[in-house]
Amino acid sequence: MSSPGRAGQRRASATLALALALGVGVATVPVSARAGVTPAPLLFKKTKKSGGLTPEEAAERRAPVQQQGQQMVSAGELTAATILYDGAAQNEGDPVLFLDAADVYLAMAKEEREISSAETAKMRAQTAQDVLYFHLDSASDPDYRLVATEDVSGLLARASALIDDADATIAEIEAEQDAVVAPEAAPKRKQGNGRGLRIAGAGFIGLGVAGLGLGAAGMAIGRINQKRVDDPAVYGTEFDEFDAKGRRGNLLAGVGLAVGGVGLVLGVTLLVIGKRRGKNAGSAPQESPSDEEASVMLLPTGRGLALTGRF
Amino acid sequence: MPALPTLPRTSVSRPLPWALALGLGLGLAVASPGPAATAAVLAAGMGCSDSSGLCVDSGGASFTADKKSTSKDRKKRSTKNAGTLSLSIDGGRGSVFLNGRYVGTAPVSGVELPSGKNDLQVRDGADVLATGLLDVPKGAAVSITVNGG
Repeated sequence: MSSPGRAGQRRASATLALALALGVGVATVPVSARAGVTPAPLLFKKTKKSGGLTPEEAAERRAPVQQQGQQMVSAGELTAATILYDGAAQNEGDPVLFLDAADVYLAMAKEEREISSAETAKMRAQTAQDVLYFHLDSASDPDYRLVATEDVSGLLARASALIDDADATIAEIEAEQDAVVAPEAAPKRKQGNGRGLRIAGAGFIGLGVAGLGLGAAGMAIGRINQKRVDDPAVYGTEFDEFDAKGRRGNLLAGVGLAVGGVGLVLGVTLLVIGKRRGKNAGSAPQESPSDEEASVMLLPTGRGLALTGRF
Repeated sequence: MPALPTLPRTSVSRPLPWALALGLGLGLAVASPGPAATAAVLAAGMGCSDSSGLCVDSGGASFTADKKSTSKDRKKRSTKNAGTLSLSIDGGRGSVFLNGRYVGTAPVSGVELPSGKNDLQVRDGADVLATGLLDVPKGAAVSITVNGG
Protein backbone atom coordinates (compact mmCIF):
# COMPACT_ATOMS: atom_id res chain seq x y z
CA MET A 1 0.00 0.00 0.00
CA SER A 2 1.43 3.26 -1.02
CA SER A 3 1.45 6.29 1.21
CA PRO A 4 -0.58 9.43 0.32
CA GLY A 5 2.63 11.36 -0.26
CA ARG A 6 3.88 8.98 -2.91
CA ALA A 7 0.48 8.87 -4.61
CA GLY A 8 0.46 12.63 -4.84
CA GLN A 9 3.92 12.60 -6.33
CA ARG A 10 2.78 10.07 -8.94
CA ARG A 11 -0.28 12.20 -9.92
CA ALA A 12 1.92 15.24 -10.28
CA SER A 13 4.38 13.33 -12.44
CA ALA A 14 1.56 12.00 -14.62
CA THR A 15 0.13 15.47 -15.08
CA LEU A 16 3.52 16.86 -16.04
CA ALA A 17 4.07 14.03 -18.47
CA LEU A 18 0.70 14.65 -20.10
CA ALA A 19 1.35 18.33 -20.38
CA LEU A 20 4.78 17.70 -21.85
CA ALA A 21 3.42 15.18 -24.31
CA LEU A 22 0.70 17.57 -25.47
CA GLY A 23 3.16 20.41 -25.68
CA VAL A 24 5.68 18.44 -27.70
CA GLY A 25 2.92 17.01 -29.90
CA VAL A 26 1.49 20.38 -30.79
CA ALA A 27 4.91 21.86 -31.35
CA THR A 28 6.05 19.14 -33.73
CA VAL A 29 2.94 18.86 -35.90
CA PRO A 30 3.73 20.34 -39.33
CA VAL A 31 2.00 23.61 -40.10
CA SER A 32 0.08 22.09 -42.99
CA ALA A 33 -1.40 19.50 -40.67
CA ARG A 34 -2.88 22.19 -38.46
CA ALA A 35 -5.51 23.24 -40.95
CA GLY A 36 -8.40 24.91 -39.27
CA VAL A 37 -6.41 26.16 -36.37
CA THR A 38 -6.28 29.92 -36.37
CA PRO A 39 -2.77 31.20 -35.90
CA ALA A 40 -2.51 33.17 -32.71
CA PRO A 41 -1.74 36.56 -34.31
CA LEU A 42 -4.92 36.34 -36.41
CA LEU A 43 -7.02 36.02 -33.32
CA PHE A 44 -6.21 39.63 -32.52
CA LYS A 45 -6.44 40.99 -36.02
CA LYS A 46 -9.12 43.65 -36.35
CA THR A 47 -11.89 42.04 -38.31
CA LYS A 48 -14.47 43.84 -40.41
CA LYS A 49 -17.62 44.59 -38.49
CA SER A 50 -20.64 42.69 -39.64
CA GLY A 51 -22.49 44.77 -42.22
CA GLY A 52 -19.29 46.61 -43.09
CA LEU A 53 -17.99 47.20 -46.57
CA THR A 54 -14.61 47.81 -48.14
CA PRO A 55 -14.08 49.95 -51.26
CA GLU A 56 -13.12 46.78 -53.17
CA GLU A 57 -16.34 45.03 -52.18
CA ALA A 58 -18.31 48.13 -53.08
CA ALA A 59 -16.67 48.20 -56.50
CA GLU A 60 -17.55 44.54 -57.01
CA ARG A 61 -21.18 45.22 -56.12
CA ARG A 62 -21.27 48.26 -58.34
CA ALA A 63 -19.73 46.67 -61.43
CA PRO A 64 -22.76 44.66 -62.65
CA VAL A 65 -25.04 47.67 -62.17
CA GLN A 66 -22.68 49.88 -64.16
CA GLN A 67 -22.34 47.26 -66.88
CA GLN A 68 -26.10 46.90 -67.23
CA GLY A 69 -26.55 50.66 -67.11
CA GLN A 70 -24.01 51.21 -69.87
CA GLN A 71 -25.76 48.63 -72.04
CA MET A 72 -29.04 50.47 -71.52
CA VAL A 73 -27.46 53.80 -72.39
CA SER A 74 -25.93 52.29 -75.54
CA ALA A 75 -29.35 50.95 -76.51
CA GLY A 76 -30.83 54.41 -75.99
CA GLU A 77 -32.87 53.28 -72.99
CA LEU A 78 -31.96 56.30 -70.91
CA THR A 79 -35.02 56.28 -68.68
CA ALA A 80 -34.47 52.61 -67.80
CA ALA A 81 -30.83 53.40 -67.02
CA THR A 82 -31.80 56.22 -64.66
CA ILE A 83 -34.21 53.91 -62.81
CA LEU A 84 -31.49 51.28 -62.47
CA TYR A 85 -28.83 53.71 -61.25
CA ASP A 86 -31.21 55.55 -58.92
CA GLY A 87 -32.38 52.37 -57.22
CA ALA A 88 -28.89 50.98 -56.72
CA ALA A 89 -27.43 54.32 -55.64
CA GLN A 90 -30.16 54.89 -53.08
CA ASN A 91 -29.87 51.37 -51.67
CA GLU A 92 -26.13 51.54 -51.23
CA GLY A 93 -25.74 55.28 -50.75
CA ASP A 94 -23.07 54.88 -53.42
CA PRO A 95 -21.66 58.22 -54.65
CA VAL A 96 -20.29 56.66 -57.84
CA LEU A 97 -23.72 55.37 -58.82
CA PHE A 98 -25.26 58.75 -57.98
CA LEU A 99 -22.77 60.31 -60.39
CA ASP A 100 -23.55 57.67 -63.02
CA ALA A 101 -27.25 58.48 -62.62
CA ALA A 102 -26.47 62.20 -62.95
CA ASP A 103 -24.58 61.51 -66.19
CA VAL A 104 -27.57 59.74 -67.69
CA TYR A 105 -30.05 62.40 -66.54
CA LEU A 106 -27.87 65.07 -68.08
CA ALA A 107 -27.61 63.16 -71.36
CA MET A 108 -31.40 62.85 -71.32
CA ALA A 109 -31.81 66.57 -70.66
CA LYS A 110 -29.55 67.45 -73.57
CA GLU A 111 -31.26 65.01 -75.90
CA GLU A 112 -34.85 65.80 -74.98
CA ARG A 113 -34.28 69.45 -74.01
CA GLU A 114 -35.89 68.89 -70.61
CA ILE A 115 -35.10 71.19 -67.70
CA SER A 116 -36.47 68.70 -65.16
CA SER A 117 -33.92 66.07 -66.22
CA ALA A 118 -31.07 68.57 -65.94
CA GLU A 119 -32.29 69.55 -62.48
CA THR A 120 -32.42 65.89 -61.43
CA ALA A 121 -28.89 65.43 -62.76
CA LYS A 122 -27.79 68.32 -60.57
CA MET A 123 -29.55 66.85 -57.53
CA ARG A 124 -27.88 63.47 -58.00
CA ALA A 125 -24.47 65.10 -58.30
CA GLN A 126 -25.15 67.14 -55.16
CA THR A 127 -26.12 63.97 -53.28
CA ALA A 128 -22.87 62.39 -54.43
CA GLN A 129 -21.05 65.43 -53.05
CA ASP A 130 -22.85 65.05 -49.71
CA VAL A 131 -21.83 61.39 -49.45
CA LEU A 132 -18.25 62.09 -50.51
CA TYR A 133 -17.77 64.94 -48.04
CA PHE A 134 -19.36 62.79 -45.34
CA HIS A 135 -16.88 60.08 -46.22
CA LEU A 136 -14.14 62.48 -45.13
CA ASP A 137 -15.98 63.32 -41.88
CA SER A 138 -15.11 61.53 -38.68
CA ALA A 139 -18.80 60.81 -38.17
CA SER A 140 -18.80 58.34 -41.07
CA ASP A 141 -18.67 54.61 -40.36
CA PRO A 142 -15.01 53.57 -40.74
CA ASP A 143 -16.12 50.03 -41.50
CA TYR A 144 -18.44 51.05 -44.31
CA ARG A 145 -16.37 52.54 -47.10
CA LEU A 146 -17.97 52.81 -50.51
CA VAL A 147 -14.95 54.45 -52.09
CA ALA A 148 -11.29 54.65 -51.25
CA THR A 149 -10.37 57.90 -49.54
CA GLU A 150 -7.80 58.66 -52.25
CA ASP A 151 -10.56 58.55 -54.88
CA VAL A 152 -12.75 61.10 -53.11
CA SER A 153 -11.15 64.25 -54.56
CA GLY A 154 -11.45 62.94 -58.12
CA LEU A 155 -15.09 62.05 -57.59
CA LEU A 156 -15.78 65.46 -56.04
CA ALA A 157 -14.30 67.11 -59.13
CA ARG A 158 -16.52 64.94 -61.33
CA ALA A 159 -19.58 65.99 -59.27
CA SER A 160 -18.62 69.66 -59.57
CA ALA A 161 -18.23 69.41 -63.33
CA LEU A 162 -21.60 67.70 -63.60
CA ILE A 163 -23.30 70.44 -61.58
CA ASP A 164 -21.75 73.15 -63.76
CA ASP A 165 -22.78 71.29 -66.91
CA ALA A 166 -26.33 70.84 -65.58
CA ASP A 167 -26.58 74.56 -64.77
CA ALA A 168 -25.36 75.49 -68.23
CA THR A 169 -27.82 73.08 -69.83
CA ILE A 170 -30.71 74.50 -67.78
CA ALA A 171 -29.79 78.03 -68.86
CA GLU A 172 -29.59 76.91 -72.50
CA ILE A 173 -32.96 75.19 -72.45
CA GLU A 174 -34.59 78.12 -70.64
CA ALA A 175 -33.29 80.47 -73.30
CA GLU A 176 -34.69 78.23 -76.02
CA GLN A 177 -38.06 78.02 -74.31
CA ASP A 178 -38.20 81.78 -73.81
CA ALA A 179 -37.59 82.22 -77.51
CA VAL A 180 -40.48 79.88 -78.32
CA VAL A 181 -42.91 81.33 -75.77
CA ALA A 182 -42.26 84.96 -76.63
CA PRO A 183 -41.05 85.06 -80.19
CA GLU A 184 -38.89 87.97 -81.07
CA ALA A 185 -41.05 90.90 -81.96
CA ALA A 186 -41.79 90.71 -85.65
CA PRO A 187 -39.37 92.93 -87.45
CA LYS A 188 -40.92 96.31 -87.82
CA ARG A 189 -42.31 96.68 -91.25
CA LYS A 190 -39.79 98.69 -93.04
CA GLN A 191 -41.18 102.10 -93.36
CA GLY A 192 -40.64 103.27 -96.86
CA ASN A 193 -39.43 106.66 -97.76
CA GLY A 194 -42.91 107.67 -98.95
CA ARG A 195 -42.10 107.39 -102.62
CA GLY A 196 -45.07 105.09 -103.27
CA LEU A 197 -47.40 107.44 -101.48
CA ARG A 198 -46.14 110.35 -103.48
CA ILE A 199 -46.69 108.47 -106.72
CA ALA A 200 -50.18 107.44 -105.67
CA GLY A 201 -50.92 110.98 -104.55
CA ALA A 202 -49.81 112.35 -107.89
CA GLY A 203 -51.95 109.73 -109.64
CA PHE A 204 -55.01 110.76 -107.67
CA ILE A 205 -54.31 114.42 -108.33
CA GLY A 206 -54.12 113.59 -112.01
CA LEU A 207 -57.38 111.71 -111.73
CA GLY A 208 -58.92 114.62 -109.85
CA VAL A 209 -57.80 117.11 -112.47
CA ALA A 210 -59.17 114.85 -115.19
CA GLY A 211 -62.43 114.51 -113.29
CA LEU A 212 -62.68 118.25 -112.89
CA GLY A 213 -61.98 118.68 -116.59
CA LEU A 214 -64.67 116.16 -117.37
CA GLY A 215 -67.02 117.94 -114.99
CA ALA A 216 -66.28 121.29 -116.63
CA ALA A 217 -66.88 119.75 -120.05
CA GLY A 218 -70.14 118.25 -118.83
CA MET A 219 -71.21 121.60 -117.45
CA ALA A 220 -70.40 123.24 -120.73
CA ILE A 221 -72.36 120.63 -122.64
CA GLY A 222 -75.24 121.03 -120.26
CA ARG A 223 -75.22 124.80 -120.55
CA ILE A 224 -75.08 124.73 -124.37
CA ASN A 225 -77.91 122.28 -124.63
CA GLN A 226 -79.89 124.18 -122.03
CA LYS A 227 -79.69 127.24 -124.26
CA ARG A 228 -80.82 125.17 -127.22
CA VAL A 229 -83.82 123.70 -125.51
CA ASP A 230 -84.71 127.11 -124.17
CA ASP A 231 -84.93 128.31 -127.75
CA PRO A 232 -88.65 128.44 -128.66
CA ALA A 233 -87.83 127.50 -132.23
CA VAL A 234 -86.56 124.15 -131.12
CA TYR A 235 -89.18 121.56 -130.53
CA GLY A 236 -90.22 118.02 -131.30
CA THR A 237 -87.50 115.49 -132.04
CA GLU A 238 -84.85 118.19 -132.06
CA PHE A 239 -85.87 119.36 -128.59
CA ASP A 240 -85.72 115.80 -127.29
CA GLU A 241 -82.29 115.35 -128.79
CA PHE A 242 -80.86 118.49 -127.17
CA ASP A 243 -82.61 117.66 -123.95
CA ALA A 244 -80.96 114.20 -123.87
CA LYS A 245 -77.56 115.74 -124.68
CA GLY A 246 -78.03 118.28 -121.93
CA ARG A 247 -78.91 115.60 -119.44
CA ARG A 248 -75.82 113.58 -120.43
CA GLY A 249 -73.76 116.75 -120.05
CA ASN A 250 -75.21 117.34 -116.60
CA LEU A 251 -74.48 113.76 -115.63
CA LEU A 252 -70.98 114.06 -116.95
CA ALA A 253 -70.51 117.28 -115.03
CA GLY A 254 -71.79 115.72 -111.80
CA VAL A 255 -69.64 112.62 -112.07
CA GLY A 256 -66.62 114.51 -113.29
CA LEU A 257 -66.77 117.12 -110.57
CA ALA A 258 -67.32 114.50 -107.86
CA VAL A 259 -64.49 112.26 -109.06
CA GLY A 260 -62.29 115.29 -109.59
CA GLY A 261 -62.93 116.62 -106.10
CA VAL A 262 -62.32 113.29 -104.39
CA GLY A 263 -59.26 112.62 -106.53
CA LEU A 264 -57.74 115.97 -105.75
CA VAL A 265 -58.33 115.72 -102.01
CA LEU A 266 -57.01 112.18 -101.86
CA GLY A 267 -54.07 112.95 -104.08
CA VAL A 268 -52.99 115.98 -102.11
CA THR A 269 -53.32 114.04 -98.83
CA LEU A 270 -51.20 111.16 -100.09
CA LEU A 271 -48.66 113.53 -101.50
CA VAL A 272 -48.30 115.34 -98.19
CA ILE A 273 -47.98 112.08 -96.21
CA GLY A 274 -45.47 110.74 -98.69
CA LYS A 275 -43.34 113.81 -98.44
CA ARG A 276 -43.39 113.72 -94.64
CA ARG A 277 -42.40 110.05 -94.59
CA GLY A 278 -39.61 110.77 -96.97
CA LYS A 279 -38.29 113.44 -94.66
CA ASN A 280 -38.51 111.11 -91.65
CA ALA A 281 -36.71 108.33 -93.46
CA GLY A 282 -34.02 110.74 -94.35
CA SER A 283 -33.72 109.09 -97.67
CA ALA A 284 -35.92 111.34 -99.57
CA PRO A 285 -34.01 112.73 -102.45
CA GLN A 286 -33.07 116.29 -102.16
CA GLU A 287 -35.55 118.06 -104.25
CA SER A 288 -35.32 121.39 -105.80
CA PRO A 289 -38.02 123.82 -104.73
CA SER A 290 -39.67 123.39 -108.06
CA ASP A 291 -39.74 119.64 -107.65
CA GLU A 292 -41.25 119.69 -104.20
CA GLU A 293 -44.74 119.56 -105.45
CA ALA A 294 -46.34 117.98 -108.42
CA SER A 295 -47.54 120.53 -110.86
CA VAL A 296 -50.18 120.42 -113.48
CA MET A 297 -49.49 122.25 -116.63
CA LEU A 298 -51.01 122.78 -119.94
CA LEU A 299 -49.26 120.83 -122.64
CA PRO A 300 -47.36 122.91 -125.19
CA THR A 301 -49.77 121.66 -127.85
CA GLY A 302 -52.60 123.24 -125.90
CA ARG A 303 -54.56 120.01 -126.10
CA GLY A 304 -54.18 118.57 -122.68
CA LEU A 305 -52.85 118.77 -119.20
CA ALA A 306 -49.60 117.26 -117.93
CA LEU A 307 -48.62 116.31 -114.41
CA THR A 308 -45.00 116.83 -113.64
CA GLY A 309 -42.85 116.34 -110.56
CA ARG A 310 -40.22 114.12 -109.04
CA PHE A 311 -41.35 111.35 -106.78
CA MET B 1 -31.98 43.79 -21.49
CA PRO B 2 -28.21 43.49 -21.14
CA ALA B 3 -26.90 41.76 -18.01
CA LEU B 4 -25.64 44.09 -15.32
CA PRO B 5 -21.90 43.99 -14.90
CA THR B 6 -20.77 41.84 -11.98
CA LEU B 7 -18.97 43.77 -9.34
CA PRO B 8 -15.50 42.58 -8.42
CA ARG B 9 -15.43 40.15 -5.53
CA THR B 10 -13.48 42.57 -3.38
CA SER B 11 -16.15 45.21 -3.58
CA VAL B 12 -19.01 42.99 -2.46
CA SER B 13 -18.05 43.66 1.07
CA ARG B 14 -18.28 47.44 0.41
CA PRO B 15 -21.49 48.06 -1.59
CA LEU B 16 -22.31 51.47 -0.14
CA PRO B 17 -19.53 53.51 -1.81
CA TRP B 18 -20.35 51.89 -5.17
CA ALA B 19 -24.02 52.69 -4.85
CA LEU B 20 -23.24 56.25 -3.77
CA ALA B 21 -20.87 56.81 -6.69
CA LEU B 22 -23.34 55.40 -9.18
CA GLY B 23 -26.18 57.48 -7.79
CA LEU B 24 -24.08 60.64 -7.81
CA GLY B 25 -22.95 60.04 -11.37
CA LEU B 26 -26.45 59.38 -12.62
CA GLY B 27 -27.82 62.37 -10.79
CA LEU B 28 -25.21 64.72 -12.27
CA ALA B 29 -25.72 63.35 -15.76
CA VAL B 30 -29.46 63.92 -15.65
CA ALA B 31 -29.32 67.31 -13.98
CA SER B 32 -26.66 69.00 -16.13
CA PRO B 33 -26.57 68.31 -19.85
CA GLY B 34 -23.56 70.63 -20.14
CA PRO B 35 -23.10 73.95 -21.90
CA ALA B 36 -22.44 72.44 -25.35
CA ALA B 37 -25.45 70.20 -25.21
CA THR B 38 -28.60 71.45 -26.76
CA ALA B 39 -31.88 69.70 -26.38
CA ALA B 40 -34.17 71.26 -28.90
CA VAL B 41 -37.84 70.57 -28.84
CA LEU B 42 -39.93 72.52 -31.24
CA ALA B 43 -43.58 73.26 -31.10
CA ALA B 44 -45.20 72.02 -34.28
CA GLY B 45 -45.75 74.62 -36.92
CA MET B 46 -42.88 76.91 -35.97
CA GLY B 47 -39.68 77.39 -37.92
CA CYS B 48 -36.48 75.93 -36.57
CA SER B 49 -34.43 78.64 -34.93
CA ASP B 50 -32.41 76.47 -32.58
CA SER B 51 -28.72 77.27 -32.49
CA SER B 52 -27.94 73.63 -33.23
CA GLY B 53 -29.74 74.01 -36.56
CA LEU B 54 -32.01 71.08 -35.71
CA CYS B 55 -35.42 71.00 -34.08
CA VAL B 56 -37.29 67.92 -32.96
CA ASP B 57 -40.89 68.52 -33.94
CA SER B 58 -42.34 65.37 -32.37
CA GLY B 59 -41.51 61.88 -31.16
CA GLY B 60 -40.04 62.68 -27.77
CA ALA B 61 -36.44 62.43 -28.94
CA SER B 62 -33.75 64.81 -27.77
CA PHE B 63 -30.86 66.10 -29.80
CA THR B 64 -27.48 67.00 -28.42
CA ALA B 65 -25.41 68.96 -30.91
CA ASP B 66 -21.76 68.20 -31.67
CA LYS B 67 -21.69 65.02 -29.65
CA LYS B 68 -20.84 61.53 -30.81
CA SER B 69 -21.99 58.18 -29.53
CA THR B 70 -19.69 56.10 -27.39
CA SER B 71 -19.11 52.41 -27.98
CA LYS B 72 -21.47 51.77 -25.08
CA ASP B 73 -24.17 53.88 -26.79
CA ARG B 74 -23.67 51.89 -29.97
CA LYS B 75 -24.05 48.62 -28.10
CA LYS B 76 -27.21 49.84 -26.43
CA ARG B 77 -28.88 50.78 -29.69
CA SER B 78 -31.70 48.45 -30.46
CA THR B 79 -33.57 47.82 -33.66
CA LYS B 80 -35.93 45.53 -31.79
CA ASN B 81 -38.13 48.46 -30.85
CA ALA B 82 -37.06 50.71 -33.66
CA GLY B 83 -38.97 53.84 -34.44
CA THR B 84 -39.07 55.94 -37.57
CA LEU B 85 -37.41 59.15 -38.60
CA SER B 86 -38.88 61.88 -40.77
CA LEU B 87 -36.66 64.81 -41.56
CA SER B 88 -37.10 67.89 -43.65
CA ILE B 89 -34.89 70.87 -44.32
CA ASP B 90 -36.32 74.33 -43.98
CA GLY B 91 -35.03 76.53 -46.79
CA GLY B 92 -32.35 74.36 -48.25
CA ARG B 93 -31.24 70.94 -49.30
CA GLY B 94 -29.11 68.21 -47.82
CA SER B 95 -28.54 64.54 -47.18
CA VAL B 96 -29.16 62.67 -43.98
CA PHE B 97 -26.59 60.36 -42.42
CA LEU B 98 -27.58 58.14 -39.53
CA ASN B 99 -25.05 56.19 -37.52
CA GLY B 100 -22.34 56.77 -40.07
CA ARG B 101 -24.28 55.89 -43.18
CA TYR B 102 -26.32 57.64 -45.85
CA VAL B 103 -30.06 57.16 -45.41
CA GLY B 104 -31.45 59.59 -47.94
CA THR B 105 -31.66 63.09 -49.29
CA ALA B 106 -34.14 65.32 -47.50
CA PRO B 107 -37.01 65.18 -47.17
CA VAL B 108 -36.90 61.63 -45.82
CA SER B 109 -39.62 59.72 -44.02
CA GLY B 110 -40.10 56.29 -42.52
CA VAL B 111 -36.38 55.73 -41.99
CA GLU B 112 -35.80 52.98 -39.43
CA LEU B 113 -34.52 54.59 -36.25
CA PRO B 114 -33.05 52.38 -33.53
CA SER B 115 -33.96 53.27 -29.99
CA GLY B 116 -31.12 54.72 -27.97
CA LYS B 117 -28.45 57.21 -28.93
CA ASN B 118 -27.97 57.66 -32.66
CA ASP B 119 -25.40 59.70 -34.50
CA LEU B 120 -27.17 62.05 -36.85
CA GLN B 121 -25.66 64.39 -39.39
CA VAL B 122 -27.32 66.48 -42.08
CA ARG B 123 -25.07 68.11 -44.66
CA ASP B 124 -25.22 70.03 -47.88
CA GLY B 125 -21.97 69.24 -49.62
CA ALA B 126 -19.14 70.48 -47.48
CA ASP B 127 -21.49 72.38 -45.15
CA VAL B 128 -22.72 70.54 -42.08
CA LEU B 129 -26.25 71.75 -41.33
CA ALA B 130 -26.58 69.76 -38.10
CA THR B 131 -24.58 67.09 -36.36
CA GLY B 132 -24.97 65.44 -33.01
CA LEU B 133 -26.53 62.73 -30.95
CA LEU B 134 -30.22 61.90 -31.20
CA ASP B 135 -31.59 60.07 -28.19
CA VAL B 136 -34.64 58.13 -29.28
CA PRO B 137 -37.24 56.44 -27.07
CA LYS B 138 -38.39 52.96 -28.03
CA GLY B 139 -40.68 52.84 -31.05
CA ALA B 140 -40.83 56.60 -31.41
CA ALA B 141 -41.89 58.28 -34.63
CA VAL B 142 -39.49 61.19 -34.64
CA SER B 143 -40.04 64.20 -36.82
CA ILE B 144 -37.23 66.67 -37.30
CA THR B 145 -36.79 70.00 -39.06
CA VAL B 146 -33.32 71.21 -39.94
CA ASN B 147 -32.60 74.81 -40.67
CA GLY B 148 -31.17 74.92 -44.18
CA GLY B 149 -30.46 78.65 -44.22
